[in-house]
Amino acid sequence: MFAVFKREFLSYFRTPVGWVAICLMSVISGYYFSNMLASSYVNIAMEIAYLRTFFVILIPIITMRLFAEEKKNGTIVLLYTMPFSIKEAVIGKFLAAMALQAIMLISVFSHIIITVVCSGIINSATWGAIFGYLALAALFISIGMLTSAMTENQIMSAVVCFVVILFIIMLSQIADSVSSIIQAILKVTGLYGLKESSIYSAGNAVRNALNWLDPYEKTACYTSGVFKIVPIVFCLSFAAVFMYITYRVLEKKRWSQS
Amino acid sequence: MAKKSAKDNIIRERVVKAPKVKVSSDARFAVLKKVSVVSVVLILAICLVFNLLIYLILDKPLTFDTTSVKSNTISEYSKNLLKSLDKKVDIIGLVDENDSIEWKEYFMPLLEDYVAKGDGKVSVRYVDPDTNPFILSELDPDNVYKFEKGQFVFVCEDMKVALNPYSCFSYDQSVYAIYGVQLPVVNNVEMNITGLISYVTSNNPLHAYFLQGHNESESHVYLDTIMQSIGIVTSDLKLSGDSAKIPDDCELLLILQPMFDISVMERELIQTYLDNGGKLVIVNDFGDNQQVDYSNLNMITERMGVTLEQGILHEGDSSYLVNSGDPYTSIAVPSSEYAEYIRIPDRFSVEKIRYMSVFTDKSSDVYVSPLLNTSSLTSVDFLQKEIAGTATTGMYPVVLQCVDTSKAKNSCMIIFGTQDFTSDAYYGVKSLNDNNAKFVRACLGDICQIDVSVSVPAKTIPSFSLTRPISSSSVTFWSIVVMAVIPIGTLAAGIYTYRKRRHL
Repeated sequence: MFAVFKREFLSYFRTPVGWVAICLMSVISGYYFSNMLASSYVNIAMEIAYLRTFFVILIPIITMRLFAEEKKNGTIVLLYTMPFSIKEAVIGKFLAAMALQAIMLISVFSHIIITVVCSGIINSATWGAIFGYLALAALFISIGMLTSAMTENQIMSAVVCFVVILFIIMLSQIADSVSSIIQAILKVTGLYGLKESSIYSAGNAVRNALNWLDPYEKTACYTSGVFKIVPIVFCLSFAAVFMYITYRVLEKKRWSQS
Repeated sequence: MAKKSAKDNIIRERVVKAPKVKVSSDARFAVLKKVSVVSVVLILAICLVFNLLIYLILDKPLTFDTTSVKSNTISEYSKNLLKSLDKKVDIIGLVDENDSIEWKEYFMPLLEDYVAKGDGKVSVRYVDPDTNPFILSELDPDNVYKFEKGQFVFVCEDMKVALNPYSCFSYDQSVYAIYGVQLPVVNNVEMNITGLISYVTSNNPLHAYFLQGHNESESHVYLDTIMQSIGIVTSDLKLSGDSAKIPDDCELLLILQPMFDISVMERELIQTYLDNGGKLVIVNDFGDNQQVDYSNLNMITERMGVTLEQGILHEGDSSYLVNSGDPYTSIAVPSSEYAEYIRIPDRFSVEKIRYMSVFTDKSSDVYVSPLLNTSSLTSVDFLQKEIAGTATTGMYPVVLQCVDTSKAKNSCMIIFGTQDFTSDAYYGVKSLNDNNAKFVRACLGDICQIDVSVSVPAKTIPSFSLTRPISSSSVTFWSIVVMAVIPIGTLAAGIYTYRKRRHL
């Protein structure tokens, strides 16, 4: 597993991918930070909350090549034949992407140092926000890895990953729309003969259920100084599920190839 | 022949068996596929159920408030109140809990803590009137309370009261003046919520009314918060028209800085109210209203042995001045008896104090006691210079308490000669943890006979403003570093590595 991790992690820096991702992250975070600095009001937790919306761009860049490139170059066969299991390969690649994501936070750490130098405040919410950011990153990287395992076209992998993350970002708006649609259908068709207040309750129940799945909403508490274990468990457990699905996809391809 | 037949048989067997081998491989692949699909579905389902259970069972126990002032955790006072509750309180947030709202981070975790520590006596739910319009008619069928989106409604049996979240904060006035942005600096959320829970569960809730109709300041958000924190709910009152009357449930009437005198009818209504054991608070400084003739208001105060004069107190003791060179902004200290009684032996910042003269020949049934005084070197600057000299240098009252014992029920009045104990402008800058807030709280508790010895503190919101001003050249320098030097450096390193390795 360590061999895969090392190979994958170093490959980010042997190609422009890792550098471009770090550069992009530092431009985005630097823009937000310099605006805060100009107003003499610096809240790093807010900066990290802002950066979370850019997962939609950064995660596909990091993950698109993880398996798609191996397939395209035919080196995937090496993974199947090497003296380690596919599980280890999946975990190694995941950890490499996570390590890159952590390195991308260097720009944020440089902002923390500048804030301290300029007599600003760094409090528990800042560290909580970083924690929440990494938990979300783990979830999205596992999703990106899955999309990469499903295709040998890197662009296709990036686009699918982008769409999935965008869907998750917009989950609360989607939940609102789904709720309204269900309410409208129940109202128009008169299905089950529900009362109007029950129709609204049904719509709201669907909306709440969808919102419960929103990882952004779950990890928002960290920026306000509330530290919860449950959102971390949520992100990591679903990351594990997506990694398992990635493993199953690779296993299936392995046997279908033979 | 037999040999050939045997060979044929083998060939036939191979031909017949060959597809069987293929079927076996396909079957294995199909089984693998089935195992994959089933295991993925199963693991997804297990993950969902596991997270749901974890959320339902462990979300609250595994939530930690890491803020320095514990802004997401209720205080001992609130915990004790929850323990003593014998009724259930339902708190309904008329908001979409998934909307991004500025105050959300200060309300929702704290309300969760109320629920967690309420032992089933407090419930919280969020209902958005936009998606569920029935909630408004369900809460207020007769449209008496006029609840609206964005409010929190506290319901206990027949008692209902609304809370506007935006009124639960003190804002930085200097930031507002410069940037036009309301920056919260102090969070009074717990103070408000606990006060309203106390109010709706109280068997004898107290109601205070603010007299309106004389260009008084309509906004008394911070005073409302202070009063709610001790279980008094406030409303505005206009005494105009033939049917005007002071409501029977009026525990306390407040007249805050009227910009013109009250009418004769209002005077009579207030006098009747006082004759029946009413309680009155008057706030009247010597600011924009210095030209106003308060004849009718003075007829009320004079029955209690006090006159509001057209003069301002001039502090002569430099050690009492807040800003040297400004004799009208000074320090007031509690009178010796009152300091011991209210247990706030401190100094209070006050400005533009109206001179109040106390009758020497007042009725023996009337008791006037100064609660706060100036230094003994204070003089009076009169509006009309010709009457200068009627008040000598000495100690003058800043806040007075008057009690009339001549009627069956004692009437009581407190007169504040400054707005610095009640105004939004003062608390907007100083916050509700200021000594003046503690003083006015003690006064109101005293007049309404409420125990205010324990209270919910206001919680400061960490200021992310840089404590040392940063020069524009420093801002430019750091902006160039974070937006240009670091990204370009990274990109250059990437290009260098790529060029070096592309032919490898």
